[in-house]
Amino acid sequence: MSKYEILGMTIGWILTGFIGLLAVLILWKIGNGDIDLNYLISDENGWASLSRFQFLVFTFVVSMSLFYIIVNSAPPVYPKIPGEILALLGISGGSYVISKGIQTSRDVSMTEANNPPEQAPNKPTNTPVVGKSETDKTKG
Amino acid sequence: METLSTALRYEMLFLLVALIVMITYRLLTRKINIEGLLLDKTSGRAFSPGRLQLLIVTMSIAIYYVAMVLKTKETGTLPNLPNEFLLALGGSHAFYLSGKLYGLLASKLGFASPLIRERFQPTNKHGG
Repeated sequence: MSKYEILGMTIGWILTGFIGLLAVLILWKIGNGDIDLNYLISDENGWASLSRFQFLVFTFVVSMSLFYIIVNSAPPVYPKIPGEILALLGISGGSYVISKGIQTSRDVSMTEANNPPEQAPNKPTNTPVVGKSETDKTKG
Repeated sequence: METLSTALRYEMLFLLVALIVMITYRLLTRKINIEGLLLDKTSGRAFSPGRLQLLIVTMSIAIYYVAMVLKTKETGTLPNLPNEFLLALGGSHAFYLSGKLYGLLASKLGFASPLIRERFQPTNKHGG
């Protein structure tokens, strides 16, 4: 084994260890609630968003497919991403943007009419978000 | 080199599977908020068929694609998704968005039901 191969192996093991440690830390923090996933697919009013849910499903499908294809090829190579998959994600993302535009327009109209959009009920969390007004209250 | 590659493979598998299991479990037990996923926010939280059909199309495409990946013999490239599925997804999104746009325009132009219309009419509810 040449010195460059030894260096490559060392760097490889350090990166593997670092990524593994990061993965365990993230999973641990999700498990004990320090990383709060309550509102993972919710919009700014606290209601679940179908577009965000769709992004979540497609992200898992594409990442698991990539992993499966990479480990099943010898030697492992990063696969080509077909245009259809990019189109799938593009349709999803484009629809999300248009939907946000419609929703914002509706929210503005309702707020101007003194009927602001209804907020979803709060869920218990380990990591409460302190808004500007709360910070101001604390400062006195 | 072989050991490093195997270690990395199991590490990635562990991370991906653990994340998917944790998030799916939390979605099923409602620890991740799914309140209002199938409700239309414009028409006073009524059930929305447009959202239901989009959810069904999304899940069908996701399951079909996973099955395609598991069956594929070709390596080095992700399988192609048939154009019919893209059209179905595009159509489904168009239906959902047009429903949403119709709800907004109906409320603004005054041909929505009185219950919905009054949410867009100026009131003095907050002292304004």
